[in-house]
Amino acid sequence: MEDAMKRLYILASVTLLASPALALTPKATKDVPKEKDAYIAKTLTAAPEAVSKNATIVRVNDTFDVTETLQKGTNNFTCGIEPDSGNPFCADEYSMRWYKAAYSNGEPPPGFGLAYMQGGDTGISNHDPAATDHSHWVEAPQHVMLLGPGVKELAASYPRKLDPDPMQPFVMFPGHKYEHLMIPIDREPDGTQ
Amino acid sequence: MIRLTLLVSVAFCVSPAVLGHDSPRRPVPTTKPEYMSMVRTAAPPATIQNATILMPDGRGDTLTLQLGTNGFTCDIPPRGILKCADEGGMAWLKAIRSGGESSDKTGIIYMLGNEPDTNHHHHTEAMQEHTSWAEGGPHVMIVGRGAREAANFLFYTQNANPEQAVLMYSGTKYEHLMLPMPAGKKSVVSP
Repeated sequence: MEDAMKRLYILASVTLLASPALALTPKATKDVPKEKDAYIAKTLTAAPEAVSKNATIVRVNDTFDVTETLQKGTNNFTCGIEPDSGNPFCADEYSMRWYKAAYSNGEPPPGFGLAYMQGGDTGISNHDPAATDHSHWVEAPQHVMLLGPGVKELAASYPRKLDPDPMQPFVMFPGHKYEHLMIPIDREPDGTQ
Repeated sequence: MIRLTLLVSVAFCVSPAVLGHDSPRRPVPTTKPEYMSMVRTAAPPATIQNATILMPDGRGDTLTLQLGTNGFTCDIPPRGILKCADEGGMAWLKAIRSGGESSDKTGIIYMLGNEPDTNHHHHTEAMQEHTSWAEGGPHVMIVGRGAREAANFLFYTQNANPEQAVLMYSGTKYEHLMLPMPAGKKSVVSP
């Protein structure tokens, strides 16, 4: 009986503590602010301050060419807002090249990259980035993306479902040339994020 | 000046975390609620919610506080470095602790509850050679075959950038990727 009570207590406390955290995951919007300060502010939500503070901040067009540099950074990361989804991102050097390929229907270049996307995700069809009918729709929580041909083995080791549980590591666009690994990194509201 | 700015920004990010967060060196809690509370900082809430949670009982046995369904196992070993690892991650940890052969299985290990790395040198040579792989501030580790493959494409030098994905124990059987998840509140939206 005592054990059962304890188990119930643990279950209850896990549920209580987990739910506000989920609720706190920011709901991304498709907005790409025209005004500079608002654009930068949204961009900065993409990564921990230690990354975004020293990153280059840019605007990109529909083919992911940089159209304006709003802040010149000192680290390897470039932050901006995806033009179609409105998702803020901070991408390392390789990931910017990957992005460029993905937005111009090119082949991902050889490499392996890390991109932070802590500002949430407005969602995308998981079978094809070009799909417009909301089929296999997936909205990820705060996450990092591991990108490029260097991620093949990783992508073979995690769920490759068209309708994945986005709260666990999963492969986005499985089998597609732009497949990549998504790793949730949301934390407790009183944690360090 | 840049260095000063960096230092100041690091200090800013680190301080709230230090105040409100558990140090990995903190004694491992001995009551179940306290233990659960500490374990919960190791990984995303949804991962914890569906993970197996183990607690050493202090007498050499392990209690299962929660039986999971997502393949992740979370615990706080005696040294107090909390983590959640999937099957590949657990196999790798077992290998490195026993000095055994590293598992080939690809794995993910969350260590989001680590104390922020105050000296901001996640990957100095000293770290590679002398200090624990688990002391580099909050991070996610990628281990096994997936890490070795990714390593073929990593061009970054050890000290290139503290936020960059980096290869640890390069060229050894415990080679793995470390993805820093810097501590500190998320960037504040305009003043």
